[in-house]
Amino acid sequence: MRKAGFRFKDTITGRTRRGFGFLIFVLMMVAAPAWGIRAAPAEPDPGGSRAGRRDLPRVDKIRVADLKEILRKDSGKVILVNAWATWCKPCQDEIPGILRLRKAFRGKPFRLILLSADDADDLNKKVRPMLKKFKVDFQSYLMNDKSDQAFISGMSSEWNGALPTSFLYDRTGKLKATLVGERNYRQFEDEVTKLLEN
Amino acid sequence: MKQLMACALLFSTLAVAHDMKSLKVGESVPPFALKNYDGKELSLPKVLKENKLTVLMFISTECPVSNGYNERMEQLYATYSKKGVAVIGINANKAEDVKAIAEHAKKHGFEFPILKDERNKVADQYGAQVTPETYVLNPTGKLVYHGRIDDSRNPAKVQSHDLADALDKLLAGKEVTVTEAKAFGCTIKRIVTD
Repeated sequence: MRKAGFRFKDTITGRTRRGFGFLIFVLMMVAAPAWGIRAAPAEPDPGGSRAGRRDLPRVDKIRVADLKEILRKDSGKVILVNAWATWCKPCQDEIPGILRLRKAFRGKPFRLILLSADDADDLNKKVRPMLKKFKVDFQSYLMNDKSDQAFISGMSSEWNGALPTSFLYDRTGKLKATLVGERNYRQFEDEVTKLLEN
Repeated sequence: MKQLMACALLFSTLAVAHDMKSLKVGESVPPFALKNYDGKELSLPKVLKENKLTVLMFISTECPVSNGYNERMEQLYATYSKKGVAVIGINANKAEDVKAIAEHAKKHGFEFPILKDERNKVADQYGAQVTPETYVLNPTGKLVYHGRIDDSRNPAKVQSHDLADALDKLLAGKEVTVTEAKAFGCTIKRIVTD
């Protein structure tokens, strides 16, 4: 036998229940700050949104064969390819000096290519925001071959994958130096000047 | 000013000249004796004689890649020391002193020895460039594997356990198929002496 008394189910329709539920949700959202309930602060991720990504420097994923093709097409210039990563502190220390080279050799047959060794997953989250921090306003690349080893061996047999490493190509497109480890502006300037004079 | 320029030029030349060739698989490695962070000296010829294989790992206390392998390195030691493999760390970074190495080893529970390569003499002889970078030696002191521990800094993304595969094959008396494997890491910060 059915018990007598107030039964919520019996008194309101499904539509009313949904409206009531929505009202409770709104009230909870309004009241949440007063109860000290807050959403976890979002991690700054300038590359997270499409709009945010538009403001970031362009970085294309590249295979070593395609990079070699770029170098071949650009022969006639001295090219410095700097391999770096967002997790590599010495890389970050030398980047301002490397960027200074672009200004110092403006008008000369010189090209700088920044080549990130970060995971492809970190392209928008870390790589492009860091390049923006360094005010990089030209296209860069991220190594994305079938394996890290393929890229390392493809760049130079003398390279074991240590970062930072810079590769200097002369105006005929020949690799003239594999500079393993951090260098300063003067060291890069000397090397580039020597190759431009040859 | 001219002197300053000359110094900069000289340093540049040295720095470029300092880029050295790495030992090749099949070559005999140079012997050395270095001190562990607890002060005890360890001689490579003695270690080679007493073990089926010897793993030398150039590591760092500060490099994020080397530190990403801390647990994996300790695991390697735990697994292979029982099988007659000597696992030895070497720290050749100029800014990382014995005290820092000892604190780092304690913090991460390293049970394997970590030798301080003062003035990066051994790193120069071996042509080690990066941390982590490993060398596997047979009892006669020949290099039988050189390179990375595995193929990813992120343990969840590892697909190729190159060092462990090489050790397993060598211990089983089989031929190692991959004798050299490279991966990205931090440069060994050296003192330039030549």
